[in-house]
Amino acid sequence: MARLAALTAGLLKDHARALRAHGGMAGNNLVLAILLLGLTGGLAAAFLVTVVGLPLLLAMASEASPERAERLTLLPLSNREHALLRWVTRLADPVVALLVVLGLLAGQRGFAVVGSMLLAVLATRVASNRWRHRSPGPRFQLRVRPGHCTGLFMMFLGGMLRTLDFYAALLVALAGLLYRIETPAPQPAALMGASLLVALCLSTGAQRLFALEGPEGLARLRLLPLRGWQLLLLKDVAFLLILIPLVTPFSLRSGLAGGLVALGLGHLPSLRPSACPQRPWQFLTGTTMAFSAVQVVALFVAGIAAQTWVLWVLSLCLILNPVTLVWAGRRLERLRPGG
Amino acid sequence: MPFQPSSETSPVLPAIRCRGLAHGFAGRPVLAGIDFEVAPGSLSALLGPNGSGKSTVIKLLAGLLTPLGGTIHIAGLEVAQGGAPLKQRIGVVPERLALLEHLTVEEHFNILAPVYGLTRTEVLVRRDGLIDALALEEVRYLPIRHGSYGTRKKLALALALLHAPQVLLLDEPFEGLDPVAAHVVRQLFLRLAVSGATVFFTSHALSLVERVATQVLLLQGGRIHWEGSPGEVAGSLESFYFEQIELPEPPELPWLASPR
Repeated sequence: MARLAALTAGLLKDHARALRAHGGMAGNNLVLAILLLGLTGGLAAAFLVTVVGLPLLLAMASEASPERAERLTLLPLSNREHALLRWVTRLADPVVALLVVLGLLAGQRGFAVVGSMLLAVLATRVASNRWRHRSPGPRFQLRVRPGHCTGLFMMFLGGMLRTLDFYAALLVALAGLLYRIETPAPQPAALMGASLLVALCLSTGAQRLFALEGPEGLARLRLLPLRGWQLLLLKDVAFLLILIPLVTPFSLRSGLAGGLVALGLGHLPSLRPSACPQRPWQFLTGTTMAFSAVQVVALFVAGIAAQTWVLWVLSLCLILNPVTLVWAGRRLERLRPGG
Repeated sequence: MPFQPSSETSPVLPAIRCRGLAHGFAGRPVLAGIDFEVAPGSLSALLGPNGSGKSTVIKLLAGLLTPLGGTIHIAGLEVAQGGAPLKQRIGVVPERLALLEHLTVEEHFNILAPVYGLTRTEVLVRRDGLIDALALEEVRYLPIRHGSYGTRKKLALALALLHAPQVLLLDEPFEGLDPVAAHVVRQLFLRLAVSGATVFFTSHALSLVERVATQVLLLQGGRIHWEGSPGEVAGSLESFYFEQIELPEPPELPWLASPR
C-alpha cells in the first residue's frame, strides 16, 4: 500500500505540472490584462475570464497522457492495485477536479451546467484520444503552392490558428459584433475598446513569433536560403492577416496601430528560446511579465492615439517596424544558443 | 566575401576550409583553434569521443552557431557572410535533426522545397523519389512528432539531399537507420561524391567509415588529433582508433551481477 501511496503522490505531482503547462500563460498579455482588471472586479473581468476560460477548458480536456498510461501498465502491480490507480488518476484529473469544485460552489442550480460541462470534457477527451495518432491523410496535407514562400506562409498562418489566443480574440470579436448589431448607435469608444481587446488577445503571439516551431523548427528555418528579415516579415504578414479582419468591424486604425506596435516591439524577444516548450492548443507563454506590461501599454497608447492622429501614428509604426525587423533579422542569422 | 585561396593552399579550391576554428560553451573551450580542409568530391568523416566537439563543428559549418574565433569557407563562400547563397549550396542534418514537429513527412517537402527555388514539377519528382528511396511511403502522412527516431533521421537526410547541394554536412547520418536504409544512404553518398559533391559527416560507426570515407579526421581534446585516409592506417580503423583514444576502465557495479 505504501508504494501505491508513493505512486499516487507522484501522479498528483505530474497532474500539477500538467496544470502548470497551461499556467505557462505567465507573461500572456490577455492574462496580464485580466489580472489588472480583476483587481477592480466587475463585469469586464468576468467577461475576460470567460474568454480565457472557455477555450482553455476544452484544450485541457483534450489532453490525456497515453505515455503515462503506458508507463503505469509496465509497473509490477497487482490487478487490484492497477484498478485503484486508474480511479485515483481519474479523480485527480485537474479538469474533473476543477468542475467538481465549481459544482460544489454552484449548488443545485449549477449542477446541470457543471454536469453538461463534464460530459463535454469527456466527449472531447474521447474524441482527441481517437484522433491523436491518426494520420491526416492525403486530402489534408499542405500542398506545393506557387511561389517560393507561399507554403511556409500557409504554415505560419495555420500555426497562429492553432493557439488559444486566436480563439480568445475570436470570442471577443464575436461579442463585439453582437454589440454592434444590437446597439442602434454604438459608442466609438466602445468600438475602439473592442478593437484594442482583439489586438491584446493576439499580441502575445507578436512577442513569441517562433513559439510553435520551437528551437528545432527555428533551426530548420535558419537552414533555409532566406534572410532573417524575410522570415520575420512572413510571420508579421500572417499576424496582420488574422488581426485585420477581426478588428475591421470595430476600429481598423486602432487595431492596426496596436498590432503594428506589438509586432515592432516583439521582433527581438521572439528570438529568445522559451523556458517551457509551446504546444498547439494552449495559450502562448509570454517572454517576461515586464516586457508584456510594456507591450500592452504601448499597444493601448498607439491604439488610442491612432483615433486622433491616425496618419502620424501609422507612419511612425511603418518607419519603426522595418527598423526592428531588419535588426532582429540580423540577430536571427547569428543566433547563439541561449539567445 | 568570396574565398581567396592563399599561396599555402592547394590549387583546387577546397569544398570546406577551416582556419583557427574556436568555440566553447559556458567558458569551457570545446574547439581550440582547429584547421582542416576537405577536397571537393570527397567523403570526409569526423571521428572522436562523445563531447569532443563533432556536433559543434557541424553546427559551425552550417552557420547554426557563430564561432568564437577563426574562419570557415564552404564552396567558396565565407560562412559568416554566406547568408542565403551559402544555404542554397549546403544540405545539413544537424544533431537534433531540426524538423518541424507539427508537419507530416510530405508537408516537409511541400513547404520547404519551393524555398530552394525548385519548380512544382521538380518538387513532386524529388519528393516522391526520396520518399521511395528512403522507404518513407508508409509514414508519408504521419505528423513527424509521432515518427520513430529512424523515420525522423531519414526525413532529415531526405531534406538535406532535396536541393542537390554541393556540400553535405551530416551529424551521425547512419545512427538509428536500419541496415537497408543505411545501405541506401551509403550508396547515395558514393554517387554524390562521384558527381563532385562533398560529404562531410560525423560518425561512431567505424567499420562503416572505413568502407566509405576517403578522408578521416580524428578530433580529441579540442584539436585535430590525426588526419589521413583509412588506407594509411595499418590494420583496421577500429583498432587504430582505440590506439589513439585513451580507453577508460569501467567502474565496478557489483549489483549488476545479481539480477532479481
